[in-house]
Amino acid sequence: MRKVIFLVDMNAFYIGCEMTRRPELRGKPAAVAGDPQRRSGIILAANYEARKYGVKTTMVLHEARKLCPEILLVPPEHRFYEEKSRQVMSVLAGYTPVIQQNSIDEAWLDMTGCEALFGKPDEMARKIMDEIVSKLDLWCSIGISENKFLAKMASERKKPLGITEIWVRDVPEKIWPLPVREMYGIGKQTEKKLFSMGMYTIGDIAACNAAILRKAFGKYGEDIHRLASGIDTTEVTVNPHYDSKSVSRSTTLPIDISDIEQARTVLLTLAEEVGEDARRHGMKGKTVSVLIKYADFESITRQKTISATFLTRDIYKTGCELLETNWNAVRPVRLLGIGLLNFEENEGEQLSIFDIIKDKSASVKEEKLEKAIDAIRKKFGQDTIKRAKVIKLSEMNRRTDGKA
Amino acid sequence: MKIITTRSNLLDGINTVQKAVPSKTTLPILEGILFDAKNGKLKLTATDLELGIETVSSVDVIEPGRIVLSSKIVGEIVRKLPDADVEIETVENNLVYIKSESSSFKIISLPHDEYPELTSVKKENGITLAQGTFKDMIRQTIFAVSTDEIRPILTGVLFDITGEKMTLVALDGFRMAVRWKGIMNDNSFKAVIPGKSLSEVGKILNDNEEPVSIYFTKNHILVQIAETIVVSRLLEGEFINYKQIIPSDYKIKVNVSADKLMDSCDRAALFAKDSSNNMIKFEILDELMIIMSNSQNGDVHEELKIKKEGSDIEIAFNAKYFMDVLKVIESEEITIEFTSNVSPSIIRPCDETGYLYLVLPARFKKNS
Repeated sequence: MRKVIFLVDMNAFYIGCEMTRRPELRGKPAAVAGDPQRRSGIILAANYEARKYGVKTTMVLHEARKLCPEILLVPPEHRFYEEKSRQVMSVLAGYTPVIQQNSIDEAWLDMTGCEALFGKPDEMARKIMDEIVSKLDLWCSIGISENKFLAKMASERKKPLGITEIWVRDVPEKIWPLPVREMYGIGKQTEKKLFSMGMYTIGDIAACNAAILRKAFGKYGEDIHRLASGIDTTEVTVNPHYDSKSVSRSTTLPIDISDIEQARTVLLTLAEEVGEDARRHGMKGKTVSVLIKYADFESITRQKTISATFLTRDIYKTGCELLETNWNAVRPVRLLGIGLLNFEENEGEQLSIFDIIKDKSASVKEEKLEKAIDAIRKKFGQDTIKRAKVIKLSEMNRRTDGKA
Repeated sequence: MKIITTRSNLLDGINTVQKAVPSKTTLPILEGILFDAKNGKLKLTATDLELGIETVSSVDVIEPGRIVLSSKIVGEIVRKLPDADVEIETVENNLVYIKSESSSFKIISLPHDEYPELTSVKKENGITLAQGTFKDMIRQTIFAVSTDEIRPILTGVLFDITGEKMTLVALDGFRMAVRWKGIMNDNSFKAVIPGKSLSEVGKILNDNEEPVSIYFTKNHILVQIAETIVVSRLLEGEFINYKQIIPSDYKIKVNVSADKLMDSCDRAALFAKDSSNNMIKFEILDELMIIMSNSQNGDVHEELKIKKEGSDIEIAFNAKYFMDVLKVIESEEITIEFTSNVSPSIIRPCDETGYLYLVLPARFKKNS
């Protein structure tokens, strides 16, 4: 039996979510944007009204304002989007049990054999789209094919509210003429390399000798060659409940820095977010990783294993150790990230007396403190309580704003 | 040296001291047993340098002297001899005859002047109690010592002596056994005895009212059991402050038959073995305790009548940690005190005072 795979892609998801609870944004150009105070303040999601002005995701704010002065900006609230995302997934679960969530706003559905229940593929897609619109007031596009790759490619064809079928037989006509960058999985770097090899369209990749691609890109070369021909044998694999392999945060710095003290402060703000996330899920990680991207765009990741924790203090302290051993004062840093991974398998974990002894000491106090901070932030907002060290960071940002 | 004694006397002595003979050693002399005969007494000594055992018995000493014989060889010979008199005699240099009835063995002895002396411990300020009591105290705690060398101090049993009370404590990080007993004593001190040494002491002790005396020095313990003494080095380091681990209060208290709980856990553990932590789950309801365990091979559901104070609770444990303690408790009924399913539970025998067992639960996934 031929497989039927859907990719359901939520259109302008963050701003779509915001519009469900802020009717004042409807019909007006609006976007969810990161902190406008900082260089990282960029458009995260623009609605279709704003897109008409040419506002795009990842565009910096002043650029967006130039294009569309009346644009309404709202700060992101990830927790709300996650909740909406869960609601979307539960609607999708009404159609098939085989769902693979690819990101917060898209998922693959294996609809093979569901025709008897819901009709032909495009009719099924219409039903799903209508239900999401009527129940959740959100828009989506659906790509239909016989494998995940083509479903994804199809979903990109028509937005918003598009339903597109691209089957393997349609590949030469619908996929091959597209520029390589349109291919799912091909980024800037690969594009550049493909250009240098004289390949500009997906058809060029498909026509290229697999051996040449393998030589240039390794195993990935074989993958893109196969995908360019519309062949993808990967299955829709049901996600484990919550993909909880790691929690991490990174940020592009307002200015490149070479002062480790500033880096520590940045790391602290990130560690706080990581810690909060981990605490919210009650998951303790055993490894802390630090990502440093230098001004020359080269980046390194270093990690260290510690005893399982979700405390900001421990994450930060370990992060600082990693930072110190890998700090190079003559190499300015552009981006910093910190993550917690290697989560404890809670199920069946034997508790230990040493935990109790430890708990009786400082850690329990620290946990209470950090959870209290979490609770205050949840109730009154992120900025209502700050660590003293972080205040300096705000000053640093203000200074750079002055310059800009 | 020349002595005559009975096979059974000799075998008793050998069996006693053999517990201290190391199975592996870099010092070959330690593989031997020292025979020291004088004044109508035969003293047998064995040591692995951490633990030393000495036992004295009356024999017919025809010619005093010292010899060292391979523990393995002499042990096997004596074990296989007929139950009759045995004669041990040194002939020229290092040859030793062992004769009994119509058997005669000729074996080589080891150089006795190389045999190390046991550390001498002054028998002062001793603590004396009944052998049976001490044996129980050891039996009810020693199973909880750690086998993990990462924290060497926990491979021993703590003797916490405070005035008139002697408390034995063993813990391995996941459970803890505490046994105490009133004694006649003036001093307060702590000592940690290696689990292996204490376990050998436990084997030598009889289950009766005969006295056993315990003496401590800064680095050693000496236990005198009738004609036998055991000397062991103490473990160095600070033992965990066990008192701070014992919860002062509880929320739920359950009374249950120890035997029935043991049998139920035993059956539940059949499936628990498949899981990583040998996990069984208790569901404590009013007057009813359900014990569950599951694996890919199937599952098990056990019900037990209980008496309960407090709310209901679901809690999971490593079955072994529960069964270990049920095996050493003699009381018919036990109480279990729970606080939450992530904090320690306390098991106490109902008809004995002076014993407490603390066990940490395992986390489990809530049934949705």
